[in-house]
Amino acid sequence: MTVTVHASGGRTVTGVRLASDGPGTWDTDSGTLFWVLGVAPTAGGALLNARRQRWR
Amino acid sequence: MAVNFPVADGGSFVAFASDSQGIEFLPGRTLTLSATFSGRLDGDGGDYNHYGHRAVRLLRPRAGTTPTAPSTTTLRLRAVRLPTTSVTSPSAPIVTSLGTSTFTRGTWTQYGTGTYGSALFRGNGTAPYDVFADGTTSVSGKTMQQAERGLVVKTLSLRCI
Repeated sequence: MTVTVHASGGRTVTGVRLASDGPGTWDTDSGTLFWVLGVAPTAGGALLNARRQRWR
Repeated sequence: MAVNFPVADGGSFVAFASDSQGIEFLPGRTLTLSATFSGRLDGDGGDYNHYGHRAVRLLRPRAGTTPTAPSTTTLRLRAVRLPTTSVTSPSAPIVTSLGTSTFTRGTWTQYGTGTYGSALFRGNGTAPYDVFADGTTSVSGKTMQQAERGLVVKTLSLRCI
């Protein structure tokens, strides 16, 4: 799904959620139990979701 | 997996969701997309999030293909303040007022919603209150209805392609 933003001056996206009326909820919040909603600038682009900190 | 990225006016991004069991993107299902945007309303001292959500209905696919959303869907956004409040009443449900208040820069309507992504208004617009069960968490805030110079909130829209 491609989402186009129309807002004067642009905006900073801080969260996205997709919810179904059936089973299925996805979001960009790692604090929830939902499946991750991936976000990228283009269909083939790198994900914009923050990486998880890796332990050494 | 938090996100925090800028999108220019007219710019777009792509959202990906997995269908782990092959049951989530069936024809007839309605998917609701919600997005929050950081920002500050012109001339107002508080911090607000711009929030909007829109439901899209999955169309019946042709044989051998997956369901798809409508080609274009417009999403109107509201500028809302999103403090989260917890209901701690020890017994019966409580009633939260949804009355209107007049602020310096315009008239705002207080709203209540059960979860962050659910409908902003539970009532039909005439009920002056909402009911939350004991122990539940609600999201409350204020929606700008009419602003003196609130140029920001009236121009926001999303289009899902």
